[in-house]
Amino acid sequence: MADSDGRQVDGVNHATGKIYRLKLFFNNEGKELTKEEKQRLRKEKKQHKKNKKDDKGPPEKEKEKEKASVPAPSKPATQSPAHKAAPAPVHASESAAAAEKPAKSKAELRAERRARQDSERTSKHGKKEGGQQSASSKPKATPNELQPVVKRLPEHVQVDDPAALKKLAKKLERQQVRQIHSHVPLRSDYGYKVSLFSHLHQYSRKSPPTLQISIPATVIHPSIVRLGLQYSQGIIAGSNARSVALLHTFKQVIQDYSTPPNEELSRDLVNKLSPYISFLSQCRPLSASMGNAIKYIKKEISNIPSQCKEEEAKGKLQACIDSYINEKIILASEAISKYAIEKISDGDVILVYGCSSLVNHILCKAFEKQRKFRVIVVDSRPRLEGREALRRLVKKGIRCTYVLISALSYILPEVSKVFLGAHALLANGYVMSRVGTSQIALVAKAYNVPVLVCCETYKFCERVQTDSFVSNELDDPDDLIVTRNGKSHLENWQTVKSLGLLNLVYDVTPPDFVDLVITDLGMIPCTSVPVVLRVKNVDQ
Amino acid sequence: MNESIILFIPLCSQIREDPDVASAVAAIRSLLEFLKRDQSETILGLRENMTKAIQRLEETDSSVAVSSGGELFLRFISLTSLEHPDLSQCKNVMIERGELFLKKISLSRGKVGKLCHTFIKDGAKILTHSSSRVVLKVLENAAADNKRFTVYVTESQPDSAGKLMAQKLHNLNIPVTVVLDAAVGYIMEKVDLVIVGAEGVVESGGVINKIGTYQMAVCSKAHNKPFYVVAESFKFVRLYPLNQQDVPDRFKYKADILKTVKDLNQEHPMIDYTPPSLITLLFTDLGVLTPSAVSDELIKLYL
Repeated sequence: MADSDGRQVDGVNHATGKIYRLKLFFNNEGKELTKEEKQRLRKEKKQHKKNKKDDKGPPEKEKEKEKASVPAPSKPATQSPAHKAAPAPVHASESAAAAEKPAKSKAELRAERRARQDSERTSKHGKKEGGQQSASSKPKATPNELQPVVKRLPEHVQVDDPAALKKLAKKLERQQVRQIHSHVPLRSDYGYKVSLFSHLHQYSRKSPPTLQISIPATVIHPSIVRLGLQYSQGIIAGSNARSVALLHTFKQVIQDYSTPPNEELSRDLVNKLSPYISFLSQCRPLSASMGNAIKYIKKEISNIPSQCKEEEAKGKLQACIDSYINEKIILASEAISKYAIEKISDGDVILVYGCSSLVNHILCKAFEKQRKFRVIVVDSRPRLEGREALRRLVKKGIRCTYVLISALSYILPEVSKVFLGAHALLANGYVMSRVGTSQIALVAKAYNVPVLVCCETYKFCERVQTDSFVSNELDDPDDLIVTRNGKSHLENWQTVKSLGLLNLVYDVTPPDFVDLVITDLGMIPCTSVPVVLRVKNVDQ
Repeated sequence: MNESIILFIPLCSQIREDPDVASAVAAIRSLLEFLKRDQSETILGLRENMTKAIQRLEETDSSVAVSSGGELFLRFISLTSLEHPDLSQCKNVMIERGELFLKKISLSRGKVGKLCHTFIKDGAKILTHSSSRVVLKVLENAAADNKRFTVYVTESQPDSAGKLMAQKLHNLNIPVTVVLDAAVGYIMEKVDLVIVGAEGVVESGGVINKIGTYQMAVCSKAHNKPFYVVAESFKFVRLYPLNQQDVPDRFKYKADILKTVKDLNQEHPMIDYTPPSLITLLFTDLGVLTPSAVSDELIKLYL
């Protein structure tokens, strides 16, 4: 149901008590709740609690739970538990208090609730809720930030407390219900997870995320489904490739989009994109580059003026996406090649790791410019991406050598420079890249070989991380199973209780090991990444 | 290019008359003179002539400072709105900016001296390398502040510039000892801090200076002694060497050697590159900077 000024008010169920104040209003800056708003919310909740304490009985608690599963299709999945966590502890304390009070008749309770609801609604009519973007689009924004009130658990609650566990199970169930309602399926974790990484998801490639989706998918656009499958099966891999594919798919989505009546394109389209993004992050966690691209698109969409006609708006958005791809990816790689070629001299022996589209581009360009060098490609299991890089370089005619990463310290004395690609550059100067990169940087440092990282500026992210544990990606553990001479060792790894397989995807390299970062803005030391971020923010 | 001949004369005379003037300052002064006498019809032509003049200056004196000073000069004078329809008006604006730039950089050495001398404690033993006018200014300021300290200077072959430095310090009544270049490791345990000048400060925060500086930096790191560099801001240059080999040849050797000698492998380079990991602090007229802050300042200066 829509308000008079077109804002969507979700989840209002007249039969039950509290109104869900989850209005999805995407204002231009996407501000979070300001301090005053948070305080106001807290005061209101306290007031509400006080009013409820007088007449609340146990039957009301069930009613609240029921209303919690009211469908809100365009709501991002990870947000809902955060918001439910707010009312849930409130009810817990209330129900404890109300347990002793005598239960009033149901009709009386309902009437009182309706009266309170009306009064609350009028008081909250003018309040805005801050931009509640999809949590997955923000680079790892904590769900706590989106919670209006941070509730502290009472001191005596233990993790294995059966009551707390039951509550958690109920919360997850609610989340599942909400998921099914919003047509974004939750993938279940597969296999035993090593305890250090138990906070991350580990999915199996054999159970695709599309198993639970109905055909035809009504909420999720088919090209998004296809993209998600391509991500989860590893058909599209590599930071640039994923971002470009995402942007092209979004172009298709915008093309097929039609504004429903009484809706504004700028707000509705953003709401439509949120379940797609949560679906994609279920298929494979979003990369920093994809996160930045999504942020850009959402900003562009919300900046569309309301009087713009639909066709014109769509054309504008398509053009924006095209120019983003062109500027940030294609032209950036040209600029980076220009700087990088200055650093390649005749007679160089260059070491590369894995398959980075940018590094391959640089080497091909340098070869075209008649520089005399040879390349050593280092590869590692289970992805063996170095073979793809080898194929591309040999096709150009560059002299290449291929080694596995275990031979690194053997060939490093021959090497004059190391060129590495990056998945993302963090705000404290750490480089996040394919697992194995930090090992190469470490050994190169020990041999005094300069390490150069090539990275476009759209991969710079505001996140700060000092180790590879706190946030990473776990790939399918079955990839580590080796079949040699017809025998597959580790085939029955699940049956061995004490065995866990860990297939990490990324690792972080400290800035002390990196000598130079080549970006489209120029050559900068690793410690100057926050300066670039600052300059970028000023530009925007 | 008749103007080029006119350029050399003021440059050489200035350096001869006032040996206290940094070569970059003299170069910029000549560039300003050149600008005043330039007779091109368009702004583009003017810029082209200026770039050519800078190149000619680099050919005479191949130090890093001349090249960086020249480029910064060019950027500074064109960093203003040149939208006037009349060329002579534009030129006047540019000349004004040029004079301003010149005034600023003539004062920079004094600013650096004022900043740095507080880091010299009473009774300190200082080690320095070769002859640097900025370091001399710093030590002069410290002496004027009634601080007692002794200085060790390396001989700095092949031109024995260290002996010149020792003579100047002696004139200031500062106790000074000349040591061999090879004795840096030996003397390091006696000294409290190391102060050197710079010919150029590169993007990574490292410095390019007279050959022997890198050795001194490595020794001071091994002994955990602070290694300070004093440099004016016009010495910031847009280079990013990865190692000693990566420094361009035109800076490593003197200009006349580059022109006459065929096989540079037989020649000895005059400068070396000290990476930022070995430097504790840089004292510039923009303030006291850590090596990682240099890149920040460079981005502000050049972008």
